[in-house]
Amino acid sequence: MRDPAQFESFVLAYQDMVFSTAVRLLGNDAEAEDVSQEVFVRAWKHWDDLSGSTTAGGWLKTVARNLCLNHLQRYRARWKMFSDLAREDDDGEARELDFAAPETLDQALLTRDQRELLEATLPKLPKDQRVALVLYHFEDMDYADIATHLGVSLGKVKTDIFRAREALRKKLQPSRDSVGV
Amino acid sequence: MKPDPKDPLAVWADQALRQLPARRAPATLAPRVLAASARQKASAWHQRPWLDWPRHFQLLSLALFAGLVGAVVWFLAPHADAVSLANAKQSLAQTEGLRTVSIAVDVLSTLGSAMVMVLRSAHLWVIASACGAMAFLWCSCVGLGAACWRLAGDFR
Repeated sequence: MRDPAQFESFVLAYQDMVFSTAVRLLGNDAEAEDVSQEVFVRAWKHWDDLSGSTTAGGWLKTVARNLCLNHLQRYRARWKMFSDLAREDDDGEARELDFAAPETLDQALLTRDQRELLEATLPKLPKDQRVALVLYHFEDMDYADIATHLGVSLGKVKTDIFRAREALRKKLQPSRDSVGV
Repeated sequence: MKPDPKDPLAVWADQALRQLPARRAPATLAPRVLAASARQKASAWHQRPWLDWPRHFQLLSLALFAGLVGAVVWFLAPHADAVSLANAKQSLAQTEGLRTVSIAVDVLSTLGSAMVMVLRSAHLWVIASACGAMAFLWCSCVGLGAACWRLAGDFR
């Protein structure tokens, strides 16, 4: 028998994790809330299997990620041709990486302001860069998996992730300098 | 994914991003989820999408559907020779209530014949130009839509 009170506790326990996954991939709070709702509605449909399961968190994260990618793919397929034409600097297809990464970077902890700045910068990254970066660093996927999931070349994934990291570093650099980190 | 330790930028980005705390879900999320699940629970099985029906109802409905299709095929098979467009049109025309349908069938068949005649008589370049014009118009519509979508996204 399904217990709504138990399901409510489940939603409250996992809502931040599901919403974080969605908002970081989609870069939009309203869309992330819609997708999060859909994730939990699906969880309710499978509640007999999920209640008491130790892998419920992983199940929710996977469903959230897949729904976000489907959501992005739906629009990507529709507007792909024009987006690709419009973005001249985004021709990562089959280009191998040969970037000169900085020799050293400080490994210090970020201050609260820097974390807020980083969180605010993520949604502003170009969609391709943000999605690849989030899948790599938050979802623990490797380059090949990301390329397969997004239907793009390995070279483009590497380029996008490199550019996203560079954008984050540039954004944080002044504040790191100012606090002397 | 653990970044390559020889890539300082990747290591830095990994450390920085992993320090970010989980984003707090909006206060409206949980009530929305609970309302949606309550709605789902309250709805009868036949009001839900077929994929959400109980398994035995799904199987029963599949069996009924297969039986229905089988019955129609079994019933029509001996009369297959008699079923033709002309007969259908005639029988439609004889039925007072279905005269409009008969007229529509006439119009469509005339249009189809005209199209076939045009395609047979026109030069290849005329057909190619027409196809090109259609492709251009389609692309224009999609392009305009994409531009509106991007503008709307910028204003959000």
